[in-house]
Parts: sequence; C-alpha cells; structure tokens
Amino acid sequence: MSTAARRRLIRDLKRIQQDPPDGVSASPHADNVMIWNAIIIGPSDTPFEDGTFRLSITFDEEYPNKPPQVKFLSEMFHPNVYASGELCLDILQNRWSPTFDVSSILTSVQSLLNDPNTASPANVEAAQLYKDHSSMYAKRVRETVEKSWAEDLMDDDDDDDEDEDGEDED
Amino acid sequence: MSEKRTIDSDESANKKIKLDQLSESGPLTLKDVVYFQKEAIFRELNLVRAKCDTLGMSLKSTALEADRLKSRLSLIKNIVMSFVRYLEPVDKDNLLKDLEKLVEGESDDSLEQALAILSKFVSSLSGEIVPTSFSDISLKLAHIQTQYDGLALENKKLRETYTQLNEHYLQSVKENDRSNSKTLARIKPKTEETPTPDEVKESKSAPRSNLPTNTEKFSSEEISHKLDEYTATIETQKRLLDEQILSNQKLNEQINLLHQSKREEIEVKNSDVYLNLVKDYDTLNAEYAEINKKFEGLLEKFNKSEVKINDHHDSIVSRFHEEKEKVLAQCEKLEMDLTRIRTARDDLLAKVNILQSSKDAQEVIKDLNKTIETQKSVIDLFKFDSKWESSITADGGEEDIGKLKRSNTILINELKEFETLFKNLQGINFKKFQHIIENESILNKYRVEKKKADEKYFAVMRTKDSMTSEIKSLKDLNKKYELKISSIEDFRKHQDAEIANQINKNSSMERLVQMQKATIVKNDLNVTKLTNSLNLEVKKNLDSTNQLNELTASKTEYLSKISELELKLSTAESKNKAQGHQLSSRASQSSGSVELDSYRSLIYCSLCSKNWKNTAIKTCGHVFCKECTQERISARMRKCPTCNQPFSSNDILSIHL
Repeated sequence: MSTAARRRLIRDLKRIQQDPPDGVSASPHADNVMIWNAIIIGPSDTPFEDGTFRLSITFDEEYPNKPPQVKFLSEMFHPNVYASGELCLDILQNRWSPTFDVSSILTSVQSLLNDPNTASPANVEAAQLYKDHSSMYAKRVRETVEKSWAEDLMDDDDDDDEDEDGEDED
Repeated sequence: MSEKRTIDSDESANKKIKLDQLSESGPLTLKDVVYFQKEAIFRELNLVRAKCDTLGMSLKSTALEADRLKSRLSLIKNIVMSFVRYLEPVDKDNLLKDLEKLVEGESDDSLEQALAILSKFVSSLSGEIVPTSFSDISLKLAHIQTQYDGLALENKKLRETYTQLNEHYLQSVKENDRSNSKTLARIKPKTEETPTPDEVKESKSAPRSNLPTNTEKFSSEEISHKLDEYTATIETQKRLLDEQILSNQKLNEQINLLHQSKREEIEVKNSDVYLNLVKDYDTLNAEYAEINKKFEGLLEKFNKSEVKINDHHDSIVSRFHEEKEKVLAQCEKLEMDLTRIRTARDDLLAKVNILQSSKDAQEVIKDLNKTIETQKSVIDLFKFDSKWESSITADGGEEDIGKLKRSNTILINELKEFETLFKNLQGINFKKFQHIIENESILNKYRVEKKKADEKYFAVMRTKDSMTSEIKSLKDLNKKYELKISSIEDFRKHQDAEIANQINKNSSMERLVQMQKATIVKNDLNVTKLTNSLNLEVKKNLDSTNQLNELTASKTEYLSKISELELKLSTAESKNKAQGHQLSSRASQSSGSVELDSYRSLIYCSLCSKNWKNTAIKTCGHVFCKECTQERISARMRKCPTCNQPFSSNDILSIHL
C-alpha cells in the first residue's frame, strides 16, 4: 500500500499540520488517502470574504510527477472556474512541478480567487463582469458566498449544528 | 499508516468537543471551519440587522414626513375652501358650483382641478379687481422660493451625509464584528492583536461574539484570560462611558453655543471673519471700482494723446510735404533758368567765334592796306622814274624823247588806270573798314551782353548754392521730424504697455474679488455645515444617552458574571498548577519533533520523502534520490522538478553525504 505517491501525501499532510497555511483547511478522506477534501476561506477585503468554499483534490499514483485533479465542490462565480467546478490554473497543468504540495496548491487557489486571469477565461460571463461591472461581479460573488454558508460541511453532524444555532441566536 | 490513524483519532476526538471551542494551533480542523462559517453567518446577520434598523429609522422619518405633508394638504384645502367661501358673494355661480363640487371631493386630483379652476377664475377676475398686494405677495413668494431652494440644497447635503454616515456605521459594525471574531483571529494567527472596541456603539455588540458558553470545559488559563478580557472590556466601557458623558456635556455646551451663534448668524451672519471678509470684499470692490475709474481715465488720456500725436504727425507730414514741393518747384525753376542761361551762353560763344573770324578778316584788310601803301610807294617810284627818264631824254635825243613821251603817256595812262584802280581799291577798303568797325561795335555789344550773362550765371549759381543749403537744412529738419515720430511711437508703445499692465491689474483685481466671493460662499457653506453637524450632534447625543443606559445595564450584568468567573478561576487555578508540569514536558517534546522534521526534510528526497538524497543533477545542482531521478528520465520528463531546467542521463551525479 505504501507507494511513493501515498508516502508523499502523508508527508504533505504532516507539513500542513506543522506549518498550516492561513485560511485553508485540508484533510484526506478517512478511507482513502488519495482523495482529499479541502476548504478555502475567502480572503478578507475581497468579494469572496468569509466564504467557505469546498474543494476535492484527487491524486493518482503518478503524484508528484503528475499534478492532481482539483475541483470546487461549492458553486463558484469566478473567471477561471468552469461550471463543473474544475479549475483553470497553470500550475495545475503545464507548469506543474513535483515540488508543489497540497498546501502550495491550496494557497495558489486562494490567491487565484482575488487575482483572476481574464486572458483565458473559463467562465466568460464572470470574466466580462469582472472587467466591466465590478460591482455586479461582487454581487454575484456574494451570492455564491452566501450559498457556501448554506452548504453542509459535515454531512454526518446535522443535529449538532442545529443545537449550536439555537445557542448562538440569543 | 500509523500516522494516518493518529490523525483520524484526532478528528474523532474533535467531534465530541463543542463547536465553539477552537483548536489552539496547528491546521484548521473541519470544526474550526464550521465554527467560522457560523460566525460569518452571524456577522452577516448582524450587518443585515443594522441595515434593517437604519431602514426602520428612515421609514419612521418618511412616515412622519408623510403625516406632515397630509396636514399641510388639509391646510391648503382649508385655505382653498375659505377662499371659495369668500368668493361666493361674487356673481359667478356656475364656476363656484364647480369649485364647491371639486373642493368637496377628497382626492388630490380634485384639489388640483379646483386650483386650476381657481386660477382660471382669478384670471377672469383680474380685469375687475386691481391686484394691489399681488406684487408684494409675488415678491414674498420669490423670497420664499429662494429660501426653499437653499433649504433643498441643504437637505440634499444632509441626505448625502446621512447616507455616508449610514455606510460608515454599517462598515464599522462589520469591522467590529470581524475584529471581535475569534475565528478570524484563529484563521490568521499571525496577527494576534486583541481587538479593543473603540466605540460604545460597537462595544454594545461585543457580547454577541463573546457568547455565553459552557465554561466548565475551559481550562483555568482560558477562564482567567476571559476574566481579564471581561474586566478590560468593562473598564474600557467605563472609560468610554465617562468619555461619552463628558463628550455629551461638551456637545450640549456646543449645541447651546451653536444655537446662540446660529440665531445671531441668521440675523447678521455674525462671525467676525465673515464681517471682515465682507468688509474686505467691499473695500476690494471699491478699490476695484477706483482702479477701473483710473484705468478709464488713463484710457481716455491715452486716446486723447494718441489723437494729438496723430494730428501732430499729420500736420508735420503735410508741412514737410508742402516744403518739399516748394523746394522741388524752385529747383525746377532754377534748373530751367540754368538751361536758359546755358543756351544763351552757347549763343554768345557762337557769336564770339563769328567775331573772331571777322577779326581775322580785318587783319586781312590791314595786310591789304599795307600792300596798297607799298603799291603807292611803287607808284611814287614809278613817278620818280618817269621824271628821271624825262630828264634823261632831254639829255639824249628827240626820238628817245618821243618814245619816252609815248611810253610816258602810256605810263601815265597806266598810272591813271592804277590810280583809278587804287581809288576803287581804297573805296572797297574803306567800305570793308567801315564794315569791320561795325563788326567791332557789335562785338563790343556782345561782350557787354556776355558780361551780363556771366553775371546772371553767377547769380544763378549763388541761388543754386543757397537752394542746396536750403535742401540740406530741410533734410536735417526731415531727420529731426523722423526722430520725433519715432520717439512718439516709442511713447505710444509705452502707453500700450501701461494699458496692458492696467488690464492685467484689472483682471487680477477681478480674480481677487472672485476669490473673496468664493471664500464668502465657503463661509456660508461652513455655516450650513455647522448647523448640520449641530443637528447630527444632537442626534448622536440622544443615541449616546440611550447607549449609556444600555451600557449601565450590561455593566451590572458583567459584574455579576465577573463574580461567577472569579469563583471558577479559583477552582481552575488549582487544576492549572497540576497541568503546568505536563504542558512544559509536552512543549519540549514538540519542539524537538519539529527540529527533527526539519532535519528530515533536509536529508530526504523532496519527491518521495522516503529515500536519502544521493543523486545530484549537474545542470542545476538540485539533489534528489536515485529512484526518483531514474523514474523521471524513464518517463521522459527530463526537467528538474524544482527549477524546470532540462537534464539528460549524462547530467546525473551520484553523491555521498
């Protein structure tokens, strides 16, 4: 079981625990270390502020020689994110280097949120709004942020959440 | 695999902890994120609540305004009704009926119609009733209109400031929430400044984030920390309260002051600066007018002088031209005289030549006279000869005497002939002589004439010289005039420059006046702003008093909480001491493990993190393990994983650490 890819992923996890990046949470699936779930908190002072966006990172056995597949599970409104949630990021394609690890991927994605590349947009509408109607763009992004809050981060902890809500209200 | 298991067990442990308890360090757990999400939602909620509050307030104000407008409408209706009633005695039945009908109708449209009819009515009446007070009313109306415009402007400004303040308020609520959020601090552990509430308004919402929690599970450290926080917040609130009270008093004073000043302002727009400014403005205006006057006077003078200069110039030029023409005419005359004199001289010279030739002829006559004399002498000689012959013949023979007598007679004849000839010649000579004398007399006459001509010539030459001198003097005069003209032109230029200067001064004065006007307008604006701020301050004051009450309530609450927490603290402190030893040992362990990990990352291959670093890439110098480099070469990914520099199988160098 302990292939090079898995060993490397365990090392990545250790590194995340030792030197955790800001506003990013990532952990592998309980039963499969090759699939990770990650949450990126939208950077402050941007339209994505306070949003909690879920991602899945799927590694294969060729990691770290091949990049993993990164995909947003939350609905996104961003020039470089396809409707399916797939990302258009150069370091996840032709500029991939084996020295990148999970934390560097997530920080790159986090910085991509506020610094989109409109030269080759994956979402043409988002790119157009970002370029011409920044207020409209921010509004649409805010909608996705609010939707991200409505999502259930922990599928198995429904009861707990409700309890908490009741407590916080007063 | 063993490491993975430990992580899983950590997560399961986390699940049992209450959600509002954050993990202190290390990576963000899912719980942390959920907690963060919740807080974010609450922050948004808070913001929405604030927005709602502001909207409610604006709704109230609009409702009040609507009420006021309604009352006004009813007032207007009353006025119209009374007016109509007043009009009743006038005999315009059908109109009045319409009016009554329309005025009785409650809807606004009917009122408008009534007003229209009334206006019609008034226009129809205008012929009969002389509107004496109409002009006064219209003036008043205009005055009111201007006042209304000013108020509308003020209202607009106030609205703007209100919206700005609203935005600022929402922003500050949001910021406050964010600064008080523990989760945000957790997410960004590098900025560990504990946020202090800077406004009472904001501190009011502080307890929302410091949610009452099940404190039993808190460690003693946390409790003491919380206690400190609470006390700090209470102290700060106290301080803020005091400050608020003080500021309240100050604001009250300010309000009173502003009220006073406002009253005075309305009458006199009192402030000294304003008066000074007005004075300055007036003086500047006066100065400006003076300067304008001066400028106009200067302009007139300049125009006059220009006209004078032009006249002078024209007269000089005309005189110069006249003189010039005169001189030219004289010159022409003189030249004509000269030519005449020359022709006369030529004639005279020709005559002199003729006379000289006649003189030659006289000389010829003299020669002829001389020849005549010589011939006479010859004749005398002949006579003598004949006498001598006769004497001889008397001595020699009779024949000879006869012969001689014959020859003598011949000779006498000849002599007689000669004598007649001589006489003829003499007559001719005499005639010729007479002719010569005549010629000589003519010559003398001519000479006299020539002398006269010469004299004339000299006179003419003299006049010519005098003319040239005159021309010279005229030229000098001309030059002088030209100099004068140039000096006049210079003077004119100077005048132009002065005028330009004056114009500049004028414009600068105008600018000054405009600036003064602008400052006055600014002052007016400031006055309005001050009144605005006054109103705002009054509002704030009310708000702050409300908050004050709330804060006193919350303070008592906090005090009770503090007593509770102090109890908890005493119980927890004992626990804390026991835990202290364990914590210290753990800390040393963790630091050691971190060091170890860093060393590990130094010596293990960064790609697989399994093998030792033992293979260097010669092109760039980066070091990995043999397996990984071989794998990359066999997978045809022949670029350095770190720096993307291409390498081949020849560039691999095995190293021994």
